[in-house]
Amino acid sequence: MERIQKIGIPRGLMAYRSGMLWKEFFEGLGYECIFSPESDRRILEKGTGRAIDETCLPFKMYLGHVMELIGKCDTIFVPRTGGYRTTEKMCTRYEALPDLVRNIFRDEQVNILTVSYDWYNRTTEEKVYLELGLSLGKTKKQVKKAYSSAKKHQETRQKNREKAQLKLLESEKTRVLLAGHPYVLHDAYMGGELVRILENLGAVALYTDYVNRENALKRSYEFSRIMPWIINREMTGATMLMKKKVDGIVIVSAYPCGPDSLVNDMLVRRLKDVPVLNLTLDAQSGTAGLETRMESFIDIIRYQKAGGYGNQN
Amino acid sequence: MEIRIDDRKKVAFPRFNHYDYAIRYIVEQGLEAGFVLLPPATKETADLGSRYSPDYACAPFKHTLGSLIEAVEAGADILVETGGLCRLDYYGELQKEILRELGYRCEFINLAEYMGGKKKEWLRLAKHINPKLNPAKFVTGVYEGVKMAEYIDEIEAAYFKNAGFEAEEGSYKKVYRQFLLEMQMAENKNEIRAAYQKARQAMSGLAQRIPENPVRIGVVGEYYTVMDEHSNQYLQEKLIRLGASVHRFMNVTNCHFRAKASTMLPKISEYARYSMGPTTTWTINSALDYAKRGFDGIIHVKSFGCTPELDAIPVLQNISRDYHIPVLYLSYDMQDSDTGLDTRLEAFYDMLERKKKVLQ
Repeated sequence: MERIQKIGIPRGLMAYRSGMLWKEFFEGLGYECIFSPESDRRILEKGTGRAIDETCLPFKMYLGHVMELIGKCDTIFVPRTGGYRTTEKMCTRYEALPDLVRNIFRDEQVNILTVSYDWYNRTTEEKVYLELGLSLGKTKKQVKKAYSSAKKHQETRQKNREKAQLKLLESEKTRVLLAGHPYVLHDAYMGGELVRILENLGAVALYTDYVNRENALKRSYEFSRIMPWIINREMTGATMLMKKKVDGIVIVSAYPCGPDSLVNDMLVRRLKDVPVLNLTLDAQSGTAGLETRMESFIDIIRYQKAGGYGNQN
Repeated sequence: MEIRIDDRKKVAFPRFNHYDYAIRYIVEQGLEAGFVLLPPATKETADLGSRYSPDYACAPFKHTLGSLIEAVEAGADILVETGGLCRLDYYGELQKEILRELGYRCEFINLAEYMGGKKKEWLRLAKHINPKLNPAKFVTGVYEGVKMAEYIDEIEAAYFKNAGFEAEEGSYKKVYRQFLLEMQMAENKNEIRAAYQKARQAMSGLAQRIPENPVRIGVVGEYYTVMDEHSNQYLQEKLIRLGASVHRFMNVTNCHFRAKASTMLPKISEYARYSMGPTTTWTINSALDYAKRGFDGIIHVKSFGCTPELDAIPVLQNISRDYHIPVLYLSYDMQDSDTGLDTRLEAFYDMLERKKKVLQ
C-alpha cells in the first residue's frame, strides 16, 4: 500500500453513527483524518449530478461529500458494512458502497480505503477493525489499542447523549420525537431544517438514535421478529419505548428509502395512541411546505393536550 | 354415487410467471394439499395491490399483494409469502398485517421466518399444512417440481431465443403454449418428461428465416420483474415480435440450482470487488457476458426504487462504455398502458439494427 497520511471521511450515511469512531481509530493509528464539510444545497446538487436519479436522497448527498474530499486527502474511507447478524443487516446499498463509489468516480480514479463485512461472515466489530488496521500495515497491538480507546470514547459520547435526552423529557415544552435514520435526522440539510422549524415553534426535538441502543434493539424484537435491518430496528424499538413519554412522533424518511417504505407503513399501523406525522423528505429547494405541515402538527398536539378533541383514552 | 369431500387445505402462493405450475405440482403431488391456481393476472390484480400498498413500496410488493387478495377471494385457506435478501424479507409481515386489517381471516405462512432454518422446521411446516404427510412422497414431489421448473426454463429460453426468426408466424408460440398447458395439468414425472421432450423436438423441427442483420438482445435485471411477464408487460414477447432473439440468464434454474454468486465474482472483479446485493452479481455477470459475446444490446429491467438493481446501473454504464454496447434501462411501477414501452422498444430495436447495418 502506498504512503497514506491523510484519510478523508465523507460526512454522510453511517458517518453519523460511527464517524467519530472511525476518526479516533485512524488518529489512534497515527493518521490525519478529515471530514467533508456540513451538508448544504451545493453538496447535494454536486452529488445529484453524478447519481442515478432514482437513488435515495442520503446517497446523493453522500456522493457530494465524496466529491468534496477528492484531491484533499490521500484516500477516502468507504467501508462496506453488510451487518453482523441476519436480523440486523444494513440496507443492500451499504454492501455496494465501495464498488458504487469506484464505478461512479472511475474517471477521477479516487483512492478508496475499505473494509468489508457481511452478516454471513459471522464476524465481530473488533475483528473488522483489526482487519482494517492490519491492511494498513499496523501491528495487532497498535490496532487493538486504537480500537478500544476509540470505542470507549464512542460509548461515553452515546451515554452523554442519552442522558441529555432524558433530561429533555422533563421539559415543559411540546416534546416531539423524530424517528428516522441518523444520517437523515442529523444531516444539516435534511433533518437540521426540521429541528430548526420545531424550535421556532417552541417545541423540543428528541431523536430515536439518542435512545439506549441495546434497549431499543431488544424492544424491536417485540415489534417484529424477522425485520432484517438494524437501523430500522433501533428506530422502531426506540419509538416504541418513547411513545408514551412524548407528545407526538414525526417519522422522518428520505425519498425513496427501501426499508422505510415498508417498515414505516407498519409502524404507523401500530402507533394508534399517539399523534404521528409521516414525513418524507425530498430534494426540495424550499422549506415552506415542511413548515406548514409541522406547524399544523404542533397545533393538533396542543389542541388535543388542551382537551380539544375530548378525552380519547 | 360416492360423495367425496375434499378436506385438504387449499394453499396459495403469489403469482410468479409460469413457476405457478411447478409450485402447484409440489403442493398437490408432494404436500398432497390443495392448490389455488390463479388465472393470469389482470389490471384488477395490479389495482388491488397498489390500493392497499404503501406508496413507494416496490412493484413486486404490489403485484404479490394483489395476487394474495385474489387468492383469498378464490377460497384459499393458507397464503404463503416468501422471503429474500432485500425488502422481500419484510413483504410477508407487512402483507399479513394489511390482509388482517382488510378483514381476511385465513392462515398466513411467512417463509422468511424459516429461511436459513433447520430442515426439521421445514418438515414441521409441511406437516402442519398436511398432517397426513408422507415425507418420502413430499421429497419426491419437491424434486419433480424443481425438475419441472428447470424444463419450463429450458423451453422458455429456447422459445425466446428462436421465435423472433420463425418462418411461419405463430409456429413457436403454438408449441410453447401447448407445453405450458401440459405443465399445468401434469400429475406425474412421466407426463412432465414426455411433454418436455415433445416440445423440444417440435421446436427443433420448426423452420427459421434468419434475417440479414439478426439482432440479439440480452435481458438482465431484478429477480421478480425480469422473470414475471405480467410485471414487465410482456417485454420479451414484444422483443421477439420485433424480430429479435432474446436471451435471459436470470431464471430460477440458473439462480438457485446452477450458477453461484461466489463463482461469478472473480469474473466481474474488474467492475465489482464485492457482492453488491442479492441479484446484482447476476445482473453484472450476465451483462458482461453478453457484452463479451457480441450481443447487440442489453435491456436492464427493475421495479422502481429497487435498491440492489439501482446500484448495478453505474456498473452497467461502465460496461456499456467499455464494450460499446447500448443499454436500455427500464424501471417499472404500476402502469396502465404499455404504449410508452412499445415506443421505446421499437426505437431501441431500430437503433440496434441500423447500427449493425452501418458497421458491417
